[in-house]
Amino acid sequence: MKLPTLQENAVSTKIRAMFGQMLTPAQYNDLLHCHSIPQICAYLKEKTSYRDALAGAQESTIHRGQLENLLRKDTFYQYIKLIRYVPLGNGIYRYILFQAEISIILSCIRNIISGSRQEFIAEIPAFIQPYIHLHLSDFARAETLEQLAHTLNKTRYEQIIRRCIHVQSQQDSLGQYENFETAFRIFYFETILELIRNSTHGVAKKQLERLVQIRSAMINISRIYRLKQFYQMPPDEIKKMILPFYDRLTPKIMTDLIQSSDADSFLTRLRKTYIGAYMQENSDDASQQIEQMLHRMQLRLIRFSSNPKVLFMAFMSLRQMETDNIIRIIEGIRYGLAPEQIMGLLYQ
Amino acid sequence: MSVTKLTLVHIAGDRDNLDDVISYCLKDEKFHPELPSQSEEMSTAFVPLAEENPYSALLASFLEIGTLAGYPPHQADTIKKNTLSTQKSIQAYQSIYDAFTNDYGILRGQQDHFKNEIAQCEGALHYLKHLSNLDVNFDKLFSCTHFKMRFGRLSVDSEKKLGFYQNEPFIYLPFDRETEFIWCVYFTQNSLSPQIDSLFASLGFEYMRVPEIIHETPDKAAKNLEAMIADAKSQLEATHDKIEALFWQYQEPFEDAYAHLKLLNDIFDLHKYSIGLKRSYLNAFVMTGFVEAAHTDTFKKNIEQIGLTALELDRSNTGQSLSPPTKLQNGWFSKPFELFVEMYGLPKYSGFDPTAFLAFTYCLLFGIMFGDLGQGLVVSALGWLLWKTKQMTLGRIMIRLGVFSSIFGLFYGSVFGFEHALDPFYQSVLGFSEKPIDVLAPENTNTVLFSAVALGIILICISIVVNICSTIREKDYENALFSSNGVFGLLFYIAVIFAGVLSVSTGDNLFSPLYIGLLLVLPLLAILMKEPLGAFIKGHSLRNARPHEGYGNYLLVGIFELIEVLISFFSNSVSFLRVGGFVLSHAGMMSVVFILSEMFHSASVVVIIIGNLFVMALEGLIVGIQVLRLEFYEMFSRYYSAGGRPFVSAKSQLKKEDG
Repeated sequence: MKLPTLQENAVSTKIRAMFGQMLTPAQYNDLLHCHSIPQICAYLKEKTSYRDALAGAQESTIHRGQLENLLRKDTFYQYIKLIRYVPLGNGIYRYILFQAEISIILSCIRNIISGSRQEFIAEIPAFIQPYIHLHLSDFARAETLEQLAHTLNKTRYEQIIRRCIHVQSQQDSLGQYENFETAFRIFYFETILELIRNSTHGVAKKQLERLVQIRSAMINISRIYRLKQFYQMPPDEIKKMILPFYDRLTPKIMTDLIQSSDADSFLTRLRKTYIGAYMQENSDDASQQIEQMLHRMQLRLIRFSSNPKVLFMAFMSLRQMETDNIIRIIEGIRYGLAPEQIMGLLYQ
Repeated sequence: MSVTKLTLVHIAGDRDNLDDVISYCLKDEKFHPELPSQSEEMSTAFVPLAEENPYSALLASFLEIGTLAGYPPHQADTIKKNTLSTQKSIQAYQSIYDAFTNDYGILRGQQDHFKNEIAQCEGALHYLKHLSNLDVNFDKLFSCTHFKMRFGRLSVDSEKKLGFYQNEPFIYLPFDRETEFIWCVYFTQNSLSPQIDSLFASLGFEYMRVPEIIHETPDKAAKNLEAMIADAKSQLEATHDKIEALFWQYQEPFEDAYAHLKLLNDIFDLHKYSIGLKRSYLNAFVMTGFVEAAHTDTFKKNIEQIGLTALELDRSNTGQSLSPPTKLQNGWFSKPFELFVEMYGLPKYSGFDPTAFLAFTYCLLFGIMFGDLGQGLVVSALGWLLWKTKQMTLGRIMIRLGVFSSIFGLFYGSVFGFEHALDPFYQSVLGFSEKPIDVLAPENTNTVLFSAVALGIILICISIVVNICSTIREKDYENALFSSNGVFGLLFYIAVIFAGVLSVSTGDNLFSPLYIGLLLVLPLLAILMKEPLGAFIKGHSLRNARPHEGYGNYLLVGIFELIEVLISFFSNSVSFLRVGGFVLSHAGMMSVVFILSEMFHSASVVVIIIGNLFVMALEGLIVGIQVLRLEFYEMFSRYYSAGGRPFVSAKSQLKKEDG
């Protein structure tokens, strides 16, 4: 068994220190009772570990998108602080950048298909440019999928996109994007699992694989439900969009779920699986329940694991979930939801 | 060492004279008023005087405006300086208040105006700091009609994305940079403004409005603003001077008005101690209270000089539902120690005042435990300082404690921890070969400890004797004889101690059956049967003297209480070991200081000084608390019970209510 290096042990220590600074339930409660974005910004600036990230922000004039961008930026810089102790090329520790690259590519594809260039440019996380090999400005200039493929020339993404371009011409716009998304997600998960298998062993390997598989299951469940509920897509079509990574939801169970006649039948069958134990009585949002399960699992790993890679993945995931939580609070307050309603949408 | 004798008085008179009576009572300070509900008169046709105080609102306004003006009106001399005869009408005081408030309000408004102006200019100046690199004339810029300009700031990340919009119709100009943000301006045509504004909004552009007071170029604008700020500040200063002058102008009439109003308000507040009877032919009041017995005749004479007022004395205080309050009366030595008695609880009017006994024993025990000539003198000096500068009662206590510490320091031969500094004095002046008590000598350790216990036993015996005397005085013969702190308790205690000491010192065993039966068992039985025996000596028959819960239950509980009595005798006696312990520890701590000083050769004097100060503070505090504990727990519990209420003069009553 390969022992963690000294640098990796430094990562573990740093992770535990950073974990201690994450938002507490009391702070979430305070945020839920804010009434406006300036108030949220002021609270984060004064009472939480986000004070450095929001140091230059003016509460009275800050824009929602700007605040969200600053929060994502802070999460990313937390990641940079961690990987300072390990070489950037060191396998699993690179997965955040890998995830970011795929996210940008998919965002660009959405932009091209839907024609929302301004929104895409606003979403581009310019702060990651120094850490990736792709040129963000090229993405902004791509107006067609072919141009995008040219932008990705000689990268590992080129083949994927060209394959999808070939398929997309035969489908409608929904199918177009779903195909790209499925292809890139499969590539992402395959790469991550390979990195996990190559760099970890034993219990750590099982834990990391489980994390990835649960995330894959979450995406699958959400997709199946959405396609059945809103698009009434036939099972054969749905099957093409499922990520082929299985945890306790075996291929047989997954096939059974896909064969459900409608969304209600799907939920009924889902409750009979292990996920059913986590689903609340009156809740139809299975993916949210899986997200909660994933959140709790990651918390458990942070508390009890000693493997740096496991800690790293669990922490980064939790950190991203925390950022998502704050963004959900911001959105909830913007739309005038009651604190209890917003609370139900958070990872906890 | 006693409780001041008081006389119950009833003051009755014409309602119109009530204020004069109360005014006199306030000045007198020897009159303790009683609320009407506690006296007999409430059962008749008299009703409490429950009118709304007409002065309180105006008084509050005076206080508020006075505090705002920077001089909270002094209250100390209001009663002495003023009499009712010099009072003006409430309207006159209202006029003074209105005039002052009006003049002050105008100046305050001007002050606020200049402050706002300064704040506005400073805000603009801060904003201008970012614009200083722009060499443009703002007046000309904002007079443009064909294009829009937007000043504001953009994040560094968003600025990088502007490159994606190279073909869009706007001109972007950054003019100042911070770590995360860039201050900039963009220009676009009027017709394209919504589109470009939307574009910049998507990038998180924070629009900042240029203040209208900024004119010409940034440099000139900055100079103008600075000039405006300077001018506003000088105007503010002038306004401040005018306010100061106004305060001086109004100070005397304002304070005079406040003092009079305060007196009227206080007098009206004290109406609650009176009750009134109103008829078509009569409008009378009655007020009840207590006066010091020695002062009663003077008080009566002065009260009866106030118009139609009469004073009835009730020297025997009989037939009243009122229990007199307690005012302690002690000599100069024990007076400060009333603080401790009040802390524990005042004695009842007819009870025993423990102040003198406490004062002496407290000083004695403290002196024994803190014996050092030099440190004692320092404590006294410090106490004197506290008393002189801050009027602290604790200072007076410290003076006495320091003296006793010094006396015992002479016995121990200790001066600031130097155990042999007084040896020449002992040898040449007193003719001793060595100092009287060498605390640090190992052979003296047991002597110190045993002596401390012996002292404790003596003090416990004295406490029991005091209890016997005070209970006899109260004609409580049951407790005087049969309680654990009575005659039989004392008999038992002395018998045990005597036999024990004799047995240890000479080897004689006094614990014969007769001795045990007569002096140990019999007293314990008497204590056990306290209740029935007490009833018997009060004249009840044997049958009626039996306990109401029956002998079985009584004896069961009594046996456990007896065990507790025995344990308390033992523990209270042994508790005085701490006196000896602190004698040794005090000397021990000073020896540690000297060991440390030897380690710091060059700074040994400093170490000794600091060490002495440290030991004085630490040991002084601990010893003070321990002695108080001995007083309250080992001694007071034997002979003293509180239950009295304090004597509060009318003036003190008001001070308490004012908080």
